[in-house]
Amino acid sequence: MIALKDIEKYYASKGVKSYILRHVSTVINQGEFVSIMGPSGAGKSTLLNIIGMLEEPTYGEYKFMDEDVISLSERKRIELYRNHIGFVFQAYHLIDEMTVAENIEAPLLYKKVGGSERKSRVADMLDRFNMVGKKDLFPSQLSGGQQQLVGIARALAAQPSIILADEPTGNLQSAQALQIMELFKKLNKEDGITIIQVTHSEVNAAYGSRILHLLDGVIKEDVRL
Amino acid sequence: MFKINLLIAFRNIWRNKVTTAIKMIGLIAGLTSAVLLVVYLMFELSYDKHNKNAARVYRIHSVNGADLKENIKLPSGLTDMMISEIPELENGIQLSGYKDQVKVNEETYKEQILRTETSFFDLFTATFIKGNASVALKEPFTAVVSESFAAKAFPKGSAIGQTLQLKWEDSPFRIVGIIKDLPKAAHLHGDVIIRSSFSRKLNWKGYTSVSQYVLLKENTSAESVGKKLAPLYKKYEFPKGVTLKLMPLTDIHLHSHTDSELEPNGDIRYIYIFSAVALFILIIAIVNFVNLTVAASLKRGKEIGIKKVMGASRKQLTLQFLSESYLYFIAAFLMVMIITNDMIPLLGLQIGIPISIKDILSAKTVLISLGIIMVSGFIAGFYPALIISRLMPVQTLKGYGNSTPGKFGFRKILMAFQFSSSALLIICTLIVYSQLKYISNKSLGFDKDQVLITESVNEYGQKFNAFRSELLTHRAIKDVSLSHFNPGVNYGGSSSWTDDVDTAKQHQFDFISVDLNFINTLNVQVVKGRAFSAKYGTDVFNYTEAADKVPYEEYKSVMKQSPIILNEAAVAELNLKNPIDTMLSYGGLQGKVIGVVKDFNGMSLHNKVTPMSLTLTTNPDFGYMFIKLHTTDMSATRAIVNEVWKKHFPDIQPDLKFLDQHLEQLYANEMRMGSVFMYFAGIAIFLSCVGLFGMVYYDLQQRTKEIAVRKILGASVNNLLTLMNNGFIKTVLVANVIIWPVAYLLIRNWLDTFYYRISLSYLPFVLALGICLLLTILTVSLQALKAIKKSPVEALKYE
Repeated sequence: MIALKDIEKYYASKGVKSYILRHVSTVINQGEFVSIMGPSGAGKSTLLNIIGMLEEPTYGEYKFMDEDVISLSERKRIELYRNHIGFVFQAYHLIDEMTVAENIEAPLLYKKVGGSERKSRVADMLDRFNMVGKKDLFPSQLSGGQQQLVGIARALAAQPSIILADEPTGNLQSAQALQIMELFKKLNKEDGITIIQVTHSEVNAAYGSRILHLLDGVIKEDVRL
Repeated sequence: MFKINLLIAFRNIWRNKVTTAIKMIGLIAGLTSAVLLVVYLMFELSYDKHNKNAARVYRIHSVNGADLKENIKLPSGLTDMMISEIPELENGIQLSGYKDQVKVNEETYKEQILRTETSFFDLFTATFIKGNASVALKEPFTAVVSESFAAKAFPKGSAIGQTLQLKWEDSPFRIVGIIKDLPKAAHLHGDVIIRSSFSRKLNWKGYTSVSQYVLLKENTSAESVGKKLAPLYKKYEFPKGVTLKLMPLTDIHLHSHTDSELEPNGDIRYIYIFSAVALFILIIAIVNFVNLTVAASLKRGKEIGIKKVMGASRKQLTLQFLSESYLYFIAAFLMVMIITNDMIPLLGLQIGIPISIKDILSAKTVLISLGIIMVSGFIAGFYPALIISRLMPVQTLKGYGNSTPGKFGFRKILMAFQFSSSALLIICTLIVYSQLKYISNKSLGFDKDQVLITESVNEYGQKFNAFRSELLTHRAIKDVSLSHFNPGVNYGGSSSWTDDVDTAKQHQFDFISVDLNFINTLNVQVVKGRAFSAKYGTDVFNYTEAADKVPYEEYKSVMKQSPIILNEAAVAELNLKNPIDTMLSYGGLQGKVIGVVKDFNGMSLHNKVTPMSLTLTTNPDFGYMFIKLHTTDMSATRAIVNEVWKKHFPDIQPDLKFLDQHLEQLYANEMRMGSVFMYFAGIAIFLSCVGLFGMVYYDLQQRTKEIAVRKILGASVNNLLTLMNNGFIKTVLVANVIIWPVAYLLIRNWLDTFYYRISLSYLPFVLALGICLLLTILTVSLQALKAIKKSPVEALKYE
């Protein structure tokens, strides 16, 4: 599903290149649950951003579902966002001006899903995450864990084939974190959704099927559990 | 999608009440000013366009070869001659307009009269309520009156068939038609339009002067008529150097500046200036909106980033932001329409023309206003939308504040533009007002305060002396004089002749025919010799009568004995060493100099004092009356004057005015410009400050942490205030200095239209800078202070 070859990312300042990623090559298949681990500044988030096409690598080849992403047009990239990729962020990144239900509905609007279909999918998500009673609340009225659940519900609403999560539990207490991880595992196992998460936590990583250890921009270890 | 975006927009507006208010106030103020100015400009540009044949009607102007001065008072018979000679002309009329007393059923009214010819309504379109254009004025001694006059003079019953009597006409006129009052945007108006007869034979040697208009045949051009004029100058013995030109009817209001316009005209230069001001204000308002929207987008970066990763295209995001700004603009438009509706009568007061909404309300004005708003809404929404939607998701998700120093730079340029415009308007306002103040304070060489004058020339007959004597028994009245001097309009007569030695040189002289009391009444200073006096037999002798009795050859030798008084400019012009007792005989200037007066300026200060001579009329019976008062109780004194007036001249309405106010009318255009500048300078600086307020507001939100950290590090309130002010002050400083040369050139140009003017100093420039800086510092500091006073812990907690 994802094939990275010799991905490099550096920032040049005053003639000195400071590398974030060096010679990163890996393949991630459909249905895998990959955790990217490593100390601060190792380049975990940058790697995830590149996989999510939020950033462009300085150099290297990247194929997403056999399509060359580097030369992808904006329009194509938007298509991928709409149909295949769901994002979950550490800081939740819900739209503050939208209610819970509206947040979940938003990606469906861009996907041009019909009105009744949208309604049923949103209702389905609210139901699944036990948030029917909170559907008209604004993000600021929710706890962190609840916000993250909305974030995941939103990502799932568009029925993506892959979820990219940047420290999804970083801002949460361990009990809530556990709940989120259980959810990921279930999604991976039952719905066959590919999941790639960045995490610091060994416990979280243990939920997955594979761990990529990153150090100073280089993949040091590729462990299959 | 649209629904949810609209919802988001509303929620955003609701949450950010402060910035929403700033945005709306700026928009409404800016758009209202622009719309008002445009309404006014359209009014000025619409003059005479209501006439069906407007494109084919031209007024005849004569052009003096020597000084290119144009004149519209032309010998009667000119149009007839032109129609007979030039086949392209279809019709023509002669016309004169004046105020006169109209007597109807023993009541008299003072009305604007148009004395004209039978084809008047072929050239000028009027809406007939009674009667019709094709037969009106076809018979002699008929009149057409305006609806408002008919309602006033004939409150009961119809005016048709009734007669009215004019003071200056022998026979009564029968009313054959009633028309709707002519539109305000017309260069001529008349409440009573009478058919009269003018001499139809052109004679340049002796003539009555009237305005004349021609109607061109369809599909002919003014140029082809112009080409046929040249041969006529010789054939009909035009004076040397005089040529004719055709002034399009619709150009008269803005392009014609002759001495004898029927009504005060506008000026195309002011149209340009006001258009520029309108454009500036509009740009300032749009800049405000752009600046605030871009600044606000800093807060919304996250929303945009998320939408992007959810698959929103740039087009969708651009549309979202564009529709948001339209939301503002449509709301603002509704407000602007309401405010404009209320403001238009005020605007009318300001420009001296009582226009109301119904004079200008048309599909066109609404469409143009709507157009302005929609176009500016697009510009104001599109730029921020473009910037915001262009950012990469990661930048926005991280909060792109630090990643856009360049954008902030651009916003500073926009802000600089606002302050430049404000400074320009402030400088212009200051200088226009100091020039106007200079004009009103400048000593004219005669008293203009506490002097009453009659607005029109009247025939007083021999009753004047009795009237004067009775007035003088009151202590509050110092002196009364009758002369042909119409202040600000003309001195009564002029003459020019070629120099004996240098034949290329023309001497131009003005004459005032005065009575014995003129110099005393107006307190004109005699510097040499003496004023006219009844004590001298040579003064009171009636030379004109004597000269009329002798054969024509001796006429001049008698007139040479008549006493005249010159002004200093005249002494210099004739290069007289010892003017007193010199006998002068040049063209119209005939007489013996008995005195020299200090130059006095009875005309506009745009022009230099002309060489002038005062000639004496011992027993004047008509002209303009000057009454010099010496009182603190103006209303009581006026009452006395009115009472004595009624006793002596029961048939004449006392249309008395104060001389100083009368002279102020000369500068109506300048005063109008001054007040427009003042209002819009105010609005410009207000808008600039509103914009600045918005920028500071966001700047502070972004720098809360920085301020807190600096405070912990030991920065004082003053340090922090300086820090916050610094950048803005520099911008305002640069904005001001950049505009100085532009302001200098513009205002210099304007001042040059005055012969008597203030000298330009650096003061207004520095003052404008001071005002801008002061307001900047206030705007920044008042807000910054609040942020700085907050406990740093609070600010840092959020991070």
